[in-house]
Amino acid sequence: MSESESPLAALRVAVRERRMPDPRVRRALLESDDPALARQAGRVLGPLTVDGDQPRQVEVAVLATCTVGPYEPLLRAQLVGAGFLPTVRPADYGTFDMALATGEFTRDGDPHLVSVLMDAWHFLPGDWSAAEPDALEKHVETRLEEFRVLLAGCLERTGATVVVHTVPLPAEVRDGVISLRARARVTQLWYRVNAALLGLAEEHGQVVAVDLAGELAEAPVPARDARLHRYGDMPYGDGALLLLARLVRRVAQAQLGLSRKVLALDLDNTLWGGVLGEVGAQGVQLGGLYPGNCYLELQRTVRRLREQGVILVLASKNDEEPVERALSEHPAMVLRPDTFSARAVNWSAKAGNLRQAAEALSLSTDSFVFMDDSDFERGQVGDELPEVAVVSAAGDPAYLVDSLLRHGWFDVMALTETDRKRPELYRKRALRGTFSAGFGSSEEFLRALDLSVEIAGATEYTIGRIAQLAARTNQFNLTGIRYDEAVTRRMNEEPGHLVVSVSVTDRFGDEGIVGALWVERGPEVWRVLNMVLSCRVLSRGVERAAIAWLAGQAHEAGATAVEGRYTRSPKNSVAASFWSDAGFTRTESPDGSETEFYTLDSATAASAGVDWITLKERNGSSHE
Amino acid sequence: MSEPDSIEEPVIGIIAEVVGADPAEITGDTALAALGWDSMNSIEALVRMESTFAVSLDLRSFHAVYTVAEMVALVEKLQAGAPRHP
Repeated sequence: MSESESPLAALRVAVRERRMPDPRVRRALLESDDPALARQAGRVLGPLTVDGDQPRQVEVAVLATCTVGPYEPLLRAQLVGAGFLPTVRPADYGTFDMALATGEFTRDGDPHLVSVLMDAWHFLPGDWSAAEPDALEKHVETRLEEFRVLLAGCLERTGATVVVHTVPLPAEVRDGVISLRARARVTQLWYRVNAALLGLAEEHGQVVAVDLAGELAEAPVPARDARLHRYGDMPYGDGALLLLARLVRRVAQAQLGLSRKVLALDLDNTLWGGVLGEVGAQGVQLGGLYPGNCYLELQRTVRRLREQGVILVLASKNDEEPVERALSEHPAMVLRPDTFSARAVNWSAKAGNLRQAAEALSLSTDSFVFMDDSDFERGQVGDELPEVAVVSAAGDPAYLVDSLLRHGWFDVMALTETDRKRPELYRKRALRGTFSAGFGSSEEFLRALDLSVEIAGATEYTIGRIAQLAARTNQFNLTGIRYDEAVTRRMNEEPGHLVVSVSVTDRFGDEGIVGALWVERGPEVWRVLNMVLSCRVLSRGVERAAIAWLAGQAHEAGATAVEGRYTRSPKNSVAASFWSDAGFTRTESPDGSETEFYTLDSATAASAGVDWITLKERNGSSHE
Repeated sequence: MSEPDSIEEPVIGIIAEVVGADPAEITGDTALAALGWDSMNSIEALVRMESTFAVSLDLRSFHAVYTVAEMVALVEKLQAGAPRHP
């Protein structure tokens, strides 16, 4: 590896060659704590465009109560580091209230995200009297309320996700009050402000609140540089802005479906201290005093990730039998054998093992995070599978938990019931793979699965999961349009549209909601604006059953035809022949459109379906 | 340690980067104003020089600097004395 080569040089080459920087350079960008490097990187990346297959694009508007300063290049560098092709547009200086009041952040439509950059003086009075603590309190509370009202109004006019952050209280305010009692009161007021800012995320589904003040408390960077503040109205130093850029990048990853789903873990010197083959199960360090407590804490952290839907894979170079015994019998072991959805314990190269695990789970390796203490293993996986996020477990084990969590690989917008059940679902799925080996034909296998599909109108309980599927599904995503929660809710409330969820059950268990359709219900024609289906239920006919149901509904409503669309993306070729396979006829696309259009006579609805699926309908639709 | 004038090259490097100029075209006599030196990029240069040379600059003397050579002299003077800020 040529780590010595400057990432900036590599970025310049990427910009010149009109391509994304390669994964190793992007990882270096994400992992660097050097704001000067990030700032230059962001500037170099300003003109980045990409030929050919397009990476995920993200548009972020920045709205600031102060000078935006280097926040724009810092944010851009973070977003490129995460694999996005970003557009970052800062609003003009001094237009904060105006932009919030009008909800117009950019000239051409809604951005995906609005990052709000706030400083304490937005809430504090320019001057205040220590003799009148009530007046100070009143002023801050009024300013906070004004912000809340403006924000609420703004949210009615935009579909963008708005990211707000907590704000540290400047020491000059706190220490300007010399009575310890009064000082505690000012500090308390400030914690209320931050609590209210965090509370905005509970009040509004479109708001995400991140804790910048908390990050600053643990990071070795000063919140501000007094000279830059006085001279340039820059209330945050570069290091603090880099922390915020990182937090906002994590929101973008969660919001736009780049969250990782799988954590592949090494054993020796990662999940426990020592080498099992040398010291035996009794000899490994786990629990007790340092360093055993570090490994125990890592295992607990991993278990908490699993509870939140992260799928665990074991990737260890060991003999299988002693590993099995250590996992089941060691008294301090938190991660028992069945907490892993797939296990690759052998002496083969880890990249190949990860690839096989991905296949067994029907997931792509680009949803994997791999953690290992060996430079060699990380290098081998990083080289062969550059899309895998690699986490180092090398060095002092006290940092294990921090190394795993700090980049927020697994962050999601909200957890659904399906998320929590996912590791178990995938474990069963791997079992299902063994089951299918015993059948002569795939249809015979599908019949034996006792598949049952349930279709229901979207409800408040399911909209979150539906939006999540839209954000995350890349393979069976017919038009690539990712309707988010706000738009889906709006559509679901309109009589001219229909949003339905698709759930699947089979003899091995309940898969939960695995698909969704967004449909425009015209009097003559029903148009499928998009349909997504989780890759874990592909090739079972579920999509056909759903479309047959829809055509039947259209027919009953008096519409004569159902129109289907397919827009090719780098990842959705698996769905290319879906409409033709379901009996639809290709029609002409409007000039210049890259979308293929298909049509089906709604009277022939039944022919689209498959006979090995039982269809259940639930009248949860808001239209009934 | 190093020659007293050895920081000219890194200072020029930082200035060139923040204003987006070719370092080869900058000499000690170059006037900063001629390079498009403004409030934003000068602050970036300040932050980077402080971390590169482990000094703390006073904004007033920093802004009073007219040429690259004066900037080098300012940083060297601070390096020679004790840092002004803890």
